[in-house]
Order: sequence, then C-alpha cells, then structure tokens
Amino acid sequence: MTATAEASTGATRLDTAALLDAYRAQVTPAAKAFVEDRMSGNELRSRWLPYFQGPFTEYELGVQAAWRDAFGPDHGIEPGPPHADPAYAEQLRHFPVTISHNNLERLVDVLAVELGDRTASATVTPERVIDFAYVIDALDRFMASLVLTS
Amino acid sequence: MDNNGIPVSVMEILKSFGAVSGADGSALSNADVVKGHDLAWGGPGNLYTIRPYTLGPAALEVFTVRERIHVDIDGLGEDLVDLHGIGVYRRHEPRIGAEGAQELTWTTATIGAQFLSLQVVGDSEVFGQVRVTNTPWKREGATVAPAQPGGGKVTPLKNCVTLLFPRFEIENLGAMVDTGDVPVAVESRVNMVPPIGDVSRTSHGYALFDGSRQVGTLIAADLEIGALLHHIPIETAKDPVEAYAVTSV
Repeated sequence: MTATAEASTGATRLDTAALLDAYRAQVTPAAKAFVEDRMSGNELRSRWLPYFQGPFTEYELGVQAAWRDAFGPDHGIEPGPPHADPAYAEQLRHFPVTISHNNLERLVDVLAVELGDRTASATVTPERVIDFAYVIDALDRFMASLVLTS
Repeated sequence: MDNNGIPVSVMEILKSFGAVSGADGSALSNADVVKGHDLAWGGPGNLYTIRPYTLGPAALEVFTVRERIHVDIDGLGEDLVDLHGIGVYRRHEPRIGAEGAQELTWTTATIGAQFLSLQVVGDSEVFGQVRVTNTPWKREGATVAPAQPGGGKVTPLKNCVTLLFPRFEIENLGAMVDTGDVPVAVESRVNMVPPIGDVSRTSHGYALFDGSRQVGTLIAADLEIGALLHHIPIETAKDPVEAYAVTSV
C-alpha cells in the first residue's frame, strides 16, 4: 500500500517510501536493461505500466485525497485564480512526485511508439533516451529526499 | 548492482554502455535534457504554485515555454535546438467529459483551450537563429480530457493533446518552413490546469515545407510549460467542443 485515503476523517497517509521501494523494484531494473540495449521499447512500456497503473496510481489517488481533505470537497469549478495557497504546503510537497511520474509516462510512451520491438540503439531521437536516464535518476533522488524529510 | 541499497545511476550506465549514439551528451548538441520545468520538481524553497486537481473558471493565460526541436533541413543538416519564449491561450470553461458522469468534478471534466500565440527563439550552429511561431488564422488548440490508465479505473490523470501549426523561421535557410496542412500534435498527461510543469512530446516526425516543396523533417519536438506569468479571468469563454475535440494521437 502506498496511500490510504480516508477523506471523511481527513486522515490520508502518503507512503512515499513504499512507492520508492516499488519504483526501485519494478522500474529501475527495466530502465537499466533498456539503456543497456537489452530491452525493447515495447518491453520497457510493458514493465512500466503495471507500476504506473498500480502503486503509482494508488499514490496519486492518495495525493488527490490529501489535497481534498485540506482544501475541501470537489464541487466543480472553484472561483478565483489558479494559484495555490502556501498554507497547503504539506499537501503540495508531494504533488511534484505525480507531475514527474506523469511526464515520465509520456516519455516511455513515445519511446515505445518510436522503437516498438527494437532496442534503444535503433533510436533516431537519442536525446529522449538521455532524457529518460536523467528523469529515472532524478525521480529516485526526489522521492528519496521526500522520504528523508517526512 | 546497487551501492548500499542506492541504485547505480541509470545515466552512468547509459554513458558507459555506449548503446546509444551521443549518450555522453553530444547527442543533445547545444540543447539540454527535457525533464519538466524546475517548478515541477518541488524541493525546499520551491513549493508548487498551482492548485492541483482543481477546476478553475475560464481565463486568458500567459506562461513561459521551452521547446526542444530536432530538425533535419536539406543542405544544412540536422540539429537539436533549445527555444525559449512565451505561450498564450484562452482556457475555456470546464464541462463534463467522462462517459456517464452526472457531476462536474476534476476527474469527470474535459477542458478545451484555444492556442492564441506561441513565440519561442533559439540558436543553432547549424541553422543560425531559429524562431518558432504558431499560425493564428488556423484552428489550434488543446483538449484536456479524462484518461483511464488503470484498466478502466477512474483516476485524476488526464490526457492533454495540443494541435498546432508551427512555422519555423530558419536564419541559415533564409526561409520560413512549416508542416503544410498537417497539424503537429503534442501529448502529455496532466493533473493540474494550467499545466505548469507539464512536458508534452510528439510521437512521430513531420515533413517540413517551403511553400509546396519539402525541405526537411521535424524529427521530434518536446515542450515544457514553465511559469504562469499572467492570468486574466474571462466571463464568456465557452468550449467550442467540435473545434478542439482531440483526445488522443
């Protein structure tokens, strides 16, 4: 379990450590195999999706619940400008974990579209493989920093 | 192979293995990695600035944009170019977009936007100065619609698809080239609007034309949405659904 949402009581616990463990167990080994040219774009995506749709989606639902616990129920269009109040710092602190995961999801998607059953050495967009390696490392560091400060 | 439980850097593996040409960073030319604007990475002193999972009223919004393009032009060559500038869009009032939904919430909503202006500029040793603009007299816009990444499970994740007709002014070509009648589609996954920190990417290349003559290829484009510079509420911006009804590419 990476998040337990209990909106009615306002008690949503976000377990970034559990998400990081799942990331290191499921995503990092696939990322290494991909950059070592041992895994195709399609295989990378097939290894990524169970994590993205499983532990990460559960975590994201927890972040959303935590935001709603603090900000109030979702009644549709909220008045006012889109800026977040720094009073919600604790809830906002975890939100970038979800942004970076969602951006990574699109990157894995386009790598699979381009490469299909071929491996990284066949790419015509090596810059995206570099993006991928950078983001995989950066996301690990970012989640680890949240765990240390929680 | 871990180091006291900390994974060995994937970037170091990429560089040392050499499977990808230019993995030492040379493939980036003078550009940088596309990872999402710093605002999207949080950390001490960098609190995220936009209300997440929250629908807002219609607005005109201006934000910083970074675009990395990978272009091949006949007679000049191939290069990556980092371009920086601003984007302006008119974001429409959210409406229910999820099939069967009765209540408008973040999760059920679809949000349309009309792209009003894109102005980004950068420099390349191959191309000279490159300026990319949109084509305001053509229909250009974005749709943020519910996604179902969890095998049908309703989640807060949304697909954002933007269609643009970019025009590329290339100094060393002495011409402005475009993609003709084919809009460039960039797609991303978002959980906030405006999508500060979002990275959207093309999934295939596009032919580039000087008039009716093909002169090259846009191999890839990757866009980062940066800081929200200005927000002006609009009273009457309803979503012209048919104009921007794009949900996937």
